[in-house]
Amino acid sequence: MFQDRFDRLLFAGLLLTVAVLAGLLITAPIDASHVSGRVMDRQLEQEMSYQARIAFLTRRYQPVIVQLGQGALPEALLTLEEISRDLPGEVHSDLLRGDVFFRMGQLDRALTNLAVAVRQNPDYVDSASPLNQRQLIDAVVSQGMPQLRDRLRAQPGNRSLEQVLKDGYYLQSRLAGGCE
Amino acid sequence: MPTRFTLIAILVSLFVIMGVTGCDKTVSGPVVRIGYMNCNSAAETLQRFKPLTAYLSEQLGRPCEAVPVDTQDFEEQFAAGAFDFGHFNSLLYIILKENQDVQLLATEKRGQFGSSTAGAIIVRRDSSIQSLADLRGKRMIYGPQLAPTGYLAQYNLMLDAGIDPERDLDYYAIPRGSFKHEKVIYGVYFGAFDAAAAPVLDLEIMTREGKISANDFRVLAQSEIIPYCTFGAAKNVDEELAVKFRQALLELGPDTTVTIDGEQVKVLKAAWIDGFEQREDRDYDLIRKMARRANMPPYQEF
Amino acid sequence: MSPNWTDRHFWLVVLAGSALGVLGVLLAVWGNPQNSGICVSCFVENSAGAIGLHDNQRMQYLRPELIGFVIGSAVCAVLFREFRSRGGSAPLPRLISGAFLIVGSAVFIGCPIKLFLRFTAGDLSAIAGILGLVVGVWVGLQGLSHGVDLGRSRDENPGSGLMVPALFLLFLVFLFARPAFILFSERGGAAQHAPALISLVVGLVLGALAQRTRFCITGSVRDGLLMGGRSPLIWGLGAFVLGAVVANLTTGQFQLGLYGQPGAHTEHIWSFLGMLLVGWLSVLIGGCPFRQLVKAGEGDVDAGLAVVGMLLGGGIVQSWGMAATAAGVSLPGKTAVLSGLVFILGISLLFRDRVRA
Repeated sequence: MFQDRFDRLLFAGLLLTVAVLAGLLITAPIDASHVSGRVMDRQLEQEMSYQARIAFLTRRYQPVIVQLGQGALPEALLTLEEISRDLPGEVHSDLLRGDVFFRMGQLDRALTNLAVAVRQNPDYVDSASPLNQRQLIDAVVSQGMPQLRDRLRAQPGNRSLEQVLKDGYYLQSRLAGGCE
Repeated sequence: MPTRFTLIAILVSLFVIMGVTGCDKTVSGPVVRIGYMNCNSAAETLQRFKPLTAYLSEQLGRPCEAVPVDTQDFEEQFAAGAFDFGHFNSLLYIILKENQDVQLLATEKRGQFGSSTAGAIIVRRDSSIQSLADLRGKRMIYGPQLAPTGYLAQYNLMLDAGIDPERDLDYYAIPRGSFKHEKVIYGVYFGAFDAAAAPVLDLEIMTREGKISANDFRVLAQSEIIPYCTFGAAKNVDEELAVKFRQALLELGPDTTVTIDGEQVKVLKAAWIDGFEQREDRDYDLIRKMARRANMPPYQEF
Repeated sequence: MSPNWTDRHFWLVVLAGSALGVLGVLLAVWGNPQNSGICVSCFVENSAGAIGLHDNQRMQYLRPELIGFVIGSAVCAVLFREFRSRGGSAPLPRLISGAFLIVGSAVFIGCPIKLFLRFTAGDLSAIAGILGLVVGVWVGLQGLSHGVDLGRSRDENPGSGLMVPALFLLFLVFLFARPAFILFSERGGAAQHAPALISLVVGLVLGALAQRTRFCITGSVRDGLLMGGRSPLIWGLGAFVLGAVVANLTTGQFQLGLYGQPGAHTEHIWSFLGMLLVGWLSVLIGGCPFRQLVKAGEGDVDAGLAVVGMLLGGGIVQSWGMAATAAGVSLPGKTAVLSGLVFILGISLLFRDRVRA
């Protein structure tokens, strides 16, 4: 391997560079500001924007949560409609609508709305997320699906019910876990 | 002798020709007349449902004609065979089912409740009225009498609470002209009435459009949830045509378009509809129960 | 049609198959996502996210199993004097094939190993994938028999074969040192993982076993189609299935059904086509995603390029929304699978030795 002077020179250079690299890594201060902030802080930025989103959703939807607590379900739906005007694509509205419809006993509508919410934001079935709503979704699925199957047995080929059933299967699959 | 390539080319050409001719839907045969219940005016109804009628014409392969009809005239015209299909509210459906044996096709989806809806009794947020019992001796405004969620549902809610709207209120009124449901809601909003019988869907739409705020009102009571507006077929309509009609309605999506006066128009958007669902006649039993209790058609007794 | 029962290699293959099946189930029990104890394509997507190739915050984790497969294979190959740098056979087509291996797997939601893990957990929607894989392997074999060949590899400088093991050694350092530029999800599928040390050890053991036995799922299907019961690999696949079924039953993870299965959809045609693509590509480039990692560990530079392609593919399927979910297969996913089929059909036309055929 080291047959001539040039080989030895290269090897010495290699050892030296490795030593310098090791020294740099060992002695470098663990301070993100010394390096490119954008790269080093990416995880922190992601976490901050996520936390900001949670805080925003909590604040913006607080009136709905209060109304749900008071059992004012029709008013909660109207408030959700009002919020949807400002935040048209925000699926947190669909999640809360699912909750309202579940409390109203409208299981089909609850399944449909929850499926829309989970499709867009899987955090709702993630037990590690502050947005976790597995308990609610599990309750809707376990109550709604047997009813739905019975109705489909009575009306085979009803495409509207089949679509809701598909939403239910989707939620079941997400609740069961697995890779995304 | 033709080569294998020539044969394949001929076959492909035949398929292409079949595909192209398949796309060209010819419209012929007797006119299919579709009655649409007027919400506000005949002109508005025609404008809303012209694209849907054109779409149905394409799908059925038959010329279709839209006929706007006032709510109170619907049954009479239906009985006279003025139209083959009809679009009407769910109370009118049970009347036509009872009296004319109309066939249920599909139920319209609109708003948060999908193909269902409900009626609510509302008061202003700052009102002293806290419960239905407090409505005694108060002024109330209702929607039109044949409105399932603007009149019937609320009438029942009050009967359930032991209040007879005919005797226990100071008085109640029904607004005249078009946009009755909006007038009902504004009637309470501006303090002309103490309470109103408001369809939940209208509250939702007015909130969405920014005409009212969710905080302006309190909902004293909300009815059970009942099916929304409905498409039905007259009993003498050919079964195959009725099935095609239903299929066409159920297949409608938000991006379905038709050409009207040279312009591509979205069918559902133009008709203010989110889509259609297939429902069962027994889903309408709640309305039958309400109509019986409120002594309203088709069970009215004098 | 029976194998040589006294052959030591045969029993080693059976051991490798059963270990892969049992440990694949156990890793899910220990924390990996349900039915995804081992899923090379999912893990590649996770790892691609961790090194910043995509920004799906729910899919970023340097999966220790992948590191284990490569290093376990490399160590084993060195110990048994089988480490040999070789390559030079159609490098770019192999790189792109690696990317399409991940596309096909992502549309099915799982690599061939996960395909069988799903099936052995009672997920009947995996049947479409199994059919697709078998058909894909069969079509691939037809291609080989008709002269489709990417060309022979040749010995290369030993340094070339060290590149991929060195890369994964670097990933190992990143896994435990956790530098700020490596991303680790705190929620979602990537946040669900077995303890890193356990995953790593399992990966090392399986990587070593796979290197010794050449066991892989598509290889087993291929040999099964070619040799039937005489092939040890098909018995290895049988041992995998048996081991995984027993493990799933004993750990309470068996749930028979078509609907509501974890990480599965019911668009069977696309499951079929996704796995058909994977099966076909695997025959063409000599192994499924798992086998590519193992081969890269033993110095195969061509496989190393496929692994790099897999990492790129992992980034692309997430960034471009190709990966399927329980909701179904997206339009980009469908487009990508069909593009993959266009690619492999084109490659088959271009790399065909018509004289030999």
